[in-house]
Formats: sequence, C-alpha cells, structure tokens
Amino acid sequence: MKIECVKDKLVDVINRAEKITGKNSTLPILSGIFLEAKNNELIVKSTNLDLGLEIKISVKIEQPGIVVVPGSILNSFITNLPQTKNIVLETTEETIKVVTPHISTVIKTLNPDDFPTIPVLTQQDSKIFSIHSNDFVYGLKSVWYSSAVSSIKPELSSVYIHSENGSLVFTATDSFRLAEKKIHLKKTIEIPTLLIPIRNIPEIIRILEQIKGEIKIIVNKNQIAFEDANGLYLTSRIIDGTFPDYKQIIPKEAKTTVTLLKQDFISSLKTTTIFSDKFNKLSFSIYPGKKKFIITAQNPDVGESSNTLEAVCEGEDLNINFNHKYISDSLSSIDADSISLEFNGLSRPLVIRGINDHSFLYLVMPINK
Amino acid sequence: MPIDLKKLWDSALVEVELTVSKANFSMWFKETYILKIEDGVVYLSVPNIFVKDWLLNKFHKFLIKCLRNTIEVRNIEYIITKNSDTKHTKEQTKAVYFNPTSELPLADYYINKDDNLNPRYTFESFVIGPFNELAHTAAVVVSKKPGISYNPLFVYGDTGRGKTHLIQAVGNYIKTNSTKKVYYITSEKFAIDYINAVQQERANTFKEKYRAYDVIIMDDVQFLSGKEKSQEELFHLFNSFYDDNKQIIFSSDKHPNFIQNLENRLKSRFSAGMVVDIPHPDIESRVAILQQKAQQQNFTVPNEVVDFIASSVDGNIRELEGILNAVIMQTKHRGRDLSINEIKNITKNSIKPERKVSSKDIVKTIADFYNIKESMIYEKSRRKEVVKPRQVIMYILREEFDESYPSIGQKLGGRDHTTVIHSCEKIKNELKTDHFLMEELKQIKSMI
Repeated sequence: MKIECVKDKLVDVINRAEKITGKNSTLPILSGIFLEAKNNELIVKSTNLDLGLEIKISVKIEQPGIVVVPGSILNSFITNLPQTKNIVLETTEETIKVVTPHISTVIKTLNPDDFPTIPVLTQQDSKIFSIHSNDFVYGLKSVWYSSAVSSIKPELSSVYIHSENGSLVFTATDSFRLAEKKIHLKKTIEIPTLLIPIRNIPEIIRILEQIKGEIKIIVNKNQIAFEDANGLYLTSRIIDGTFPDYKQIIPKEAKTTVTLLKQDFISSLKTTTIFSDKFNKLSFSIYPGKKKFIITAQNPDVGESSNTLEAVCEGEDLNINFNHKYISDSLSSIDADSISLEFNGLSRPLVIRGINDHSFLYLVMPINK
Repeated sequence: MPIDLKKLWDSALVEVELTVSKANFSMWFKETYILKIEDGVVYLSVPNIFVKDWLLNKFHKFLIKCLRNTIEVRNIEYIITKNSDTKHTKEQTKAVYFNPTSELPLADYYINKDDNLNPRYTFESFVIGPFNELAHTAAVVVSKKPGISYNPLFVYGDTGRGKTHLIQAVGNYIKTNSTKKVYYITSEKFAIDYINAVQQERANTFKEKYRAYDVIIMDDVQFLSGKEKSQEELFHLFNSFYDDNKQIIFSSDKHPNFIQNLENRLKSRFSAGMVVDIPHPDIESRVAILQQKAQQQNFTVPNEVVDFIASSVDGNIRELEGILNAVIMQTKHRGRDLSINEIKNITKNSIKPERKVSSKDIVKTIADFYNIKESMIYEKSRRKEVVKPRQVIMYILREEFDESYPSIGQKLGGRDHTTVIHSCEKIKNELKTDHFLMEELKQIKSMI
C-alpha cells in the first residue's frame, strides 16, 4: 500500500478512530487502526468490540493495500508532526513508513487478517430512519449523565429512546434521579424502543457531534448503526431489555412550588456546595408565607453557609435535603431562563423544569432524614 | 440418542485451541456454547455480533469440520444471546456503597411496552400441581408449536388461580424462543383501544396494528360481555388469525358458554380449540405454591406455618401470596420467627367470615338465573322448569349454608323434609355425571 494525502485530513480521521480502539484488551489487534486503500479512498476502521467505526476519506493512491497500525502510536506521532502539508504512507512486509519532507518514520504493523469485521446491519429485520445529528446529540447530552454507572441493571445503565406523539424521547435514570428530554421532530418517525449502553454514549456523542446534517440510523435487535452522507459508519451494541415504566412516577401535582431565575440558582448552588458534607447534602427551606427560599449546607469540618434566594414560592412550608450533585447536573440541560421546582413532601421526588419548556423534565429523590 | 452439548462443544474447541493463539481463543471462543441442535443444524450462542461475524468469516468451515468428528452436522447458525450474569455478580459485591438518597419508586420488574408482557411470568416460576397440570401441559404444547397445536387456547378459572401467569408464560416463552411478535392485552384495553380508534376515525390502523402480530394473548375476555362492536371486531380479528394459523390465547373467569351477553359466534369460536379449566387448588398444591413463593424471596418458612396458611386460606393464590408476604415482612421486622398465634392474627382478615345471606336472596338469585318468577318457587307447581331450580335451591341451602332439612322445607312454601332430602340427593347424584349442571352450580355459587 502506498498513499499520499493532506496531513490534517488524515490527523482528523486517525484521531477519531483512535478513540474507539480497544484499550488494555487481551487482544492486541484491537488496539490497532485498520487502513485500506482502494478506489481513491482510504478506509479507516477501528473497534473495541462494543463500538465499531468506519470512516472514508479520499486520498491519492499509488498502490492499493491493507494494513493495521497500532492506534495510539500512529495517532500521537502524526498529531504532533510539525507544520507540513502532505504526508506519505507506504507499507512494507511488516512495517509502515510515514514520510514527510523532513521526517521519515517506520512503525511496526499488526496482521490485518486478525482484524475483526465491523458488523454491517442488513436492511432486513432492521428499521431505518433519518434524523438531524444535532437533534440526536442534543437528546443524548440532555439526559445521559443520569444513567446508572454500575452495570447491575443493564437497562438502567443506558439511555432509553422511544418515539411519542411525533417527538423522540430520551430518558435516563439511575433510580435516584431521572432525566427526560423530548426532541420535537418536523416529520413523524416511528422507531422501535431502544437502549444504548451508557459506556458507548460519550464516544457516540463525540463522533456524531462532528457530523453536520442528517444521519441515517439503522436499528435491529442487537445493534444500532449511524451513517452520514460522507460514508462515516458507526455501530454500537444495544441492550435487549425493558426500561422501567417511569411515566407513572412523575407527580401530577405539587404541594410546594418554587419559581426562580436559573442563573441565581446556579450561582448560589456553587457557593453553598463548598460547605456540603461527604454525602453532598444540601438543605432547602421553603416558607411561602414569608416568601423565602433558603439553601443551606453545613460540614462540621469546614463550616456552613446559607443563602436566601429571590423566588416565588407557593404551597406548604417545607424543609428537605438533596444531594447537590443530582440537582446541579440537570441545570445545564435547561434552556429556559427561569426554572420551577415542584415538591411533593419529604419522601416524594422533586420535579425540575424550565418555565415554558415542556421538553425537559428532571426528577430527583430527596436524602432520607 | 441424547448428546451432551457441552461435551460436544468442548471437544470441538480443543481442536480450535490448537490452531489459534491464546488471546484469540479467549476473545472469540470463551463465551460461546451450543444452544440446541435441530435437523443437523447446530445453534451456537455468541455474546455479540462481532464474534458472530468473526466466527462466520474465519472459522465457519473449520468448526463444522470439528463438529463432524462427533456428529452429523449440516450447518451452524450463530445466535446472539444476552451475556450471562457471571459478570454482574462480581460487580454487585463491589458496587454496594452507601447512598443516603432514597430511590425513585420504580417497579422492580418492567412490563415491556412493545408487547405488554411481564417478564416475571415464566413457566419456570409457575407452580404445577394436580389441579393445574392439564392447563400447564396445554400451555406448554401451545408455546412449543404456536398456531398449530391448539388454536385458540382458552383458559378459565376463578380469580387468583394463575391464569394470567400461565398465558403470559406462553407469551414470554414464544418471545424468547422465536422471532414471532407477541402481544398481550386485556379485553378491556382492547375495547378502549377500539373505541379510541373509531373516534379518531382510524379503524383501519387499528385493524392493521393487531393483524401485524403473530400471537395475541387476551386476558379476561368476560369483560367484553355486552360490548357488541368490540366483540365484532374481535370476531374479525379472530378469523384472520385463525386463517393464518396464528396463535390466539384467551383467559376468562368462566367457560365461554357461560359468559353472558357474548355473541354465539364468538362462544363457538372460543370453544373451537382447547378449553381448559384451572380448578380449585388442592391443599398439597397450596403448600407447594407457598414454598416456591417463599423460596423466590429467599426466605425459609417453617413447615407448620406453611401448612397453617395453606389450610386456612383456600382457593385464591393471590391471597396466599399476600399472607406469605405479610409473614415475611413481620418476621424481618421483628427479627425472629413468628408464633402460630401471631400468624393467626395476620390471616385473620383473609379467612372469609361465615356468609350471611338470607334464603330469600338465594331464591331470588337462582330464580333470576333460571329466568322464572320468584313466586313460582314457593307455589305447588310441579312443572319441569320450576322443579329443577327449586331442587337446586334446596341443595345450595343444604350444602352451602348448612340449613336443616325441615327448615328448608318450611322456607320454600311449607314442604315436607323428605321432599327436601330427596331433592338434595337427586342433585348430588346428577352432579356426578352432569357436567353442565356442575357449571351452572359453580356460576350460581359465585353469584351468591
């Protein structure tokens, strides 16, 4: 194989592919990046057996061929190359030569026969739909932090996606809090419900973020695949399971409601949480009669802080504790300037929403007394 | 000749191990096993699609060759199965850390939205006793060959006998062992769904939605009684399913012939396949059910407690479960075993008190049931259509309410006690042979 191409283009794809390679896997071949040159295209593949990625870029091919290069070595080498425009890759028996006007390097390669195939989803028994990549990424980003980290319940350590009344609904929960984001679609699409494992979400977001425009999504029972117009192909395992029926736990009314500016809330959380204890405990005191909403935190080793906020409070008086991390996690997913906090007493979840924003919903349970 | 699948696969793997590197072997072959062998095709379970592609592309021929050393193999099919729980147990012990936040009240078992099936209801968790053996066997046969063996399958029995469990188990079995689309719905939901569809003028999408499934399980069909349009829709759905050899499963609290206000064409269709009854569980079965339920909760209940609960609560399995749960809760709460007296306290509310129904009410109910005037019972008439209900009333008063013969005679228009004795004996004898009468009595008893 011998190819020549613009360095920046190659750096970009190798960068993306390297993220997907198998790290500390028992199988060395997985740490490699698969390169194939044919028909004026360089096909770059990598996989960790959970995710698989394939990107095509057009290059000048002098001699077609295939090779597998250790990913991290190739990546860190070409990323740090000094300012040069073009780069030449040429393979010999068991090595690959990377040549620029000033530098010539030889890297040992791996046997391409050992490289696993990236699964291609067939048209049959799978569903296909297309969606703007921004919408999909936005949905994932709005909820994925709420997923469970441990994999005891695989359906909770994933993001659940289903369609509902012309919207695509993204949901995640770790059973302490729950985030739901509805993305309204211009055209109605029917998709099967699916669960994408949380482990793969950061990489999926990273890759889809760089795509501008529509992506095609193919789903079957075990696998999901994303395709863009330029021949990028990303596939991930999905979980065969059932997400809990969470609609029934969303409170329909509120005993105490607080409405306040999001920015005020964020800044007071930032100062107060410095004084929270090892359980990240934060207390909310709400006195609608006195029109007061007070956030306090105390840590016997550090000190304590209390902050009275300007807010509209309605309903019953309430003293309630939360893990501050669970609260602040949600705020970046709310676009509105004002937010509402709806409480239903000590053992029921708190509902956080943006004012006039029905697309996002966040439930969080209080800390036991 | 039964073949040990594990041994067979191990012997094939020995050969594979010789040809590939250790890392390769542990990556690609470690989590594989043979699911089943059918008609010379070996179904191999693989953990993910990568392994499937890899084996298919690189080792397919070689694997067939290795397997042929021991058995006749035509082909190998690769099936992706969920990886077992081996990984999780390790993490479970590690991941236990204290989180003071309370948990969202999410249900433990999740009902799948696509098919409404509850994964908890499986054949494995179904307790088989002499009383439900027949129903269970029929259900197993249906789940092995849906649409072919008994179509439709109609299961009936009183509330809390495990009908829903059984029919959902069929659904879960078919779902996991084939690609058929299963759908579980209660007849009430079906009716609501139909009404909504008609209101929104989407009757066609309604038809298409249901016809797209391969197996339909409809629970509690007795609630369709009187809903004529929904019955008609079910009738058409039934016909199209039946013609396509797609399985339909129904459950109800009575035999189809006794469901009131149900169109005859539906009744006859319900009875066309297999109609099985889940009768009253005998005491041994109740004991077995309690033991299994306790085991499912990892709890050992002393034998005398199980015996006591089983003997003091009859029939309803749901009630048995409720009492068992209460016993387990209390035991955990108090941190010691409960005494029989304490358990008696728990069961107190569940044991039905002596029924107090006036004989007049009984006469009225039974007269209504046979569609004759109440007054005719008290008259001297010996017309056939009056005699039988009168005898049934006497029998019921005697058997169910322990009334004395003379007082029964007195209450029914001053008849002699020997008349009453004769009537009760007559019904008793007829019950032994007359199935129809038995069903009638069952119905009447449930109405009182």
